Amino acid sequence: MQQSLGKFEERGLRVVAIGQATGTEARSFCDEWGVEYPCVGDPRRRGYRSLGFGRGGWWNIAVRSLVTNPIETVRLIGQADRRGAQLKSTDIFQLGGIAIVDRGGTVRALHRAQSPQDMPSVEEVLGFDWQAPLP
Amino acid sequence: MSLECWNQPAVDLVVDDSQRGEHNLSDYWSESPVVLYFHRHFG
Repeated sequence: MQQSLGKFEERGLRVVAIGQATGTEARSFCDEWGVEYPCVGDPRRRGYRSLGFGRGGWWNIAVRSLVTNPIETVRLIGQADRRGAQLKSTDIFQLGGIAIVDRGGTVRALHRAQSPQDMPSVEEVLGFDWQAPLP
Repeated sequence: MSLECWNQPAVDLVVDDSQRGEHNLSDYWSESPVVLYFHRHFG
């Protein structure tokens, strides 16, 4: 994401990362990874609930990917930084998502993840015509 | 695994920002359109 920040800016889009953490924890992770865009905390998950981002179960979070793609899953588990999952405010079953919000405060595009791997690519987000006329 | 067109007012909420303190998420989108990445968790 950080490497693509310029492309988002070219399209007039600002990027904000939100996580289940305090603001200090969020910024600490992002500083460590060299992230320059805002990283904020939503420790009570109000934003997640307001956009309908659900909770998975063991099947969605871990078992399905182990069954369907074990090698890649084991590789990802090995690379994972587990500190975020161990924060006091973290619900490990919480799923994420993406929302594009226009200047008027309207959600123009939404993706609700169904599993940890279920997130659109940067290219898809950049290519999405969120300014199309509203129905 | 794709974005969908949506048309719904975003619920404003207070987020915790280590640099700006607690503030409203709308502070971001009032400046420019914004992509909000909600992570499962950091890490």
